[in-house]
Amino acid sequence: MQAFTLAPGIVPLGLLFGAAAVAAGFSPAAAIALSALVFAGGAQFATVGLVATGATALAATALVFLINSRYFLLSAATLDLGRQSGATPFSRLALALGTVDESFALQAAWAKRALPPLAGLLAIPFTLWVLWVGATAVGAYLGELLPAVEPFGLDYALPGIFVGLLGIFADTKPRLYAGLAALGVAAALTLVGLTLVAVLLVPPLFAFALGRWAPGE
Amino acid sequence: MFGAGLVSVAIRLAPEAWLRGRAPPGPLARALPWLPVVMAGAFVAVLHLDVAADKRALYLIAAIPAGLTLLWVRSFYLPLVTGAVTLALLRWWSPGFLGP
Repeated sequence: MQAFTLAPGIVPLGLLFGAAAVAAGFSPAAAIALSALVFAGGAQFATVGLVATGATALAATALVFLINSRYFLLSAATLDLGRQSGATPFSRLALALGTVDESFALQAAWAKRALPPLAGLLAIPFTLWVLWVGATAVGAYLGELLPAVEPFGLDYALPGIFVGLLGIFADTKPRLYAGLAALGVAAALTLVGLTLVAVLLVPPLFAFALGRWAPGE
Repeated sequence: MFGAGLVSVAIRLAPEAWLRGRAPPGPLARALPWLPVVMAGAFVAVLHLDVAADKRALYLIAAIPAGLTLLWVRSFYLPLVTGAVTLALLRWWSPGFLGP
């Protein structure tokens, strides 16, 4: 159920990606395969944009590596939750493959209340994957026929969810200050055009620095 | 396309290949509890600011009531709904002035 609350944010993006990929020259099947395999909105949009400019497959692969490298740390954190929930080797593989920002955020929010059952941990990324790939398919085949989401404000779904998640995770003063400091640095980097640096470097650098100097929190 | 897919799969599976069900080593174990809150903070900034300039102003206005709901209850449903409704009302109220 928690994963379905992300649908207003995930589905419009998936629809848009499907339509954008086909407009850039991908076949609908290729767009769907890209969503199924890469399963990362930012990297997929960047890939489609790059391919549309005539870049090589190697350049697109390097870009995906760069953008998705943050999943190494998120996957490690997800696997640690899975380990505590008694995950088998097979379910650990499924957890790792399903890691995205949104699934990790939901799993971590659940873990703040209680240790999530393994089935719950697995259901979140699986639901998001089905929504993402399904929306891509609909967007790829029916892109031009779909209504706009902006008049309903639904394009605010993902920003709104992360505002709520920040509130959930910032449950002590040190965590609140850490979250706001990360927000401030990421905002400054984004405003000067360094969005990729904000996404890729700010969370791990802050997490490792805080783990080093405030390990007991 | 398959190169991009392969790279994505490899990055996600690398920690499992490394740890194989064991607890993460010290520095990583100490960093992981901080990861959710700093990731959420960074993404709040990026998702509100890395958009077109006209949309950015609307998102920042919508973030105010969305954030204020956290003073009442910590939930991610309520900021989503409050922000979306605020955005829809802003666009309905003044579509020309405030952008798309």
